[in-house]
Amino acid sequence: MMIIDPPVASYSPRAKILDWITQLESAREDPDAEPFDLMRIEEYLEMARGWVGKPQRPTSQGNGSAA
Amino acid sequence: MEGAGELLRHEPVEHAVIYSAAGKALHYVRSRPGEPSKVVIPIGKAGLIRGNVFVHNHPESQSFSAEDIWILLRHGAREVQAYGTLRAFRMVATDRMRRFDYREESTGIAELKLLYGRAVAASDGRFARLASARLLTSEEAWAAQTHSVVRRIAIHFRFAYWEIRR
Repeated sequence: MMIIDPPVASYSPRAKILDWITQLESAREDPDAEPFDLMRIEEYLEMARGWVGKPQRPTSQGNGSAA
Repeated sequence: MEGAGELLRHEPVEHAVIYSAAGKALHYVRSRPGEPSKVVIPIGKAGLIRGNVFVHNHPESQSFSAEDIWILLRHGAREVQAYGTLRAFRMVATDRMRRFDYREESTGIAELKLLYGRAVAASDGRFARLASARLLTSEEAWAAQTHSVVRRIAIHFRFAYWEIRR
C-alpha cells in the first residue's frame, strides 16, 4: 500500500494537490487495498477534490456501460 | 545528533540517520531519485530503530507524518527528530505511550492515519485563512498546521512532542 497521508492542504500549490489526487486514485485501484484503506482513500479524495474544485471521476465500477 | 539535524535541515531531498542512544551513527539512508520527500529503511535495518534515535529532514519544513509517528509507536524508536529550513520538531517515547506490535500492524496504522487525516481536514480552514490573508506563506502554514496536528496525535497516543528551538 502506498503512503497516502495528506502531504498538502487546501492552500498548497494546485499542482501538488493534483499530484496527491493522482496518488489516491492509484491507491484506490490497488487490488491489495483493504476496505478500511478504501474508505479512507474515498474520504481523502473527496476532501482533495473539494480543494481544487475537480469533479469526481467515475470509479471503475461505473465504467464500461454502453451508451 | 542535533548537529546532524542542523546539517540536514537545508538539504532539498530527505535523508535519515539512525543513532544509538549514545550518539553513534548506525545507519544512513537517502531518498530515492524521484521521491525527494520519502526515505525507506530497508526491512533488514528496521530492527536498528528500536531503542534508538531516528533523525531526518523534511525539505518542506512540515512536522511529522503518520509514517514518522509509526516509527515511534510500532518500531520502538526512543526518539524521532525532523529538521526543516523553517522549523524542527522532536517526539520522544514515554512509559505511558500507547504502543503497537506486529499483530496490530494493519489496524494500528489505519487508526493512526485516519486520525491524522481527520486532524488535517479539521484544522485546514484556520490555516487556509492565514495563508489567504498572506499572514503566512503556504510553506509556513503547512509547517504550523502539521505541528498542530501532531500535538493532537501526541495527546491521543501519549508521547512527548515539541518544537526544537534554535
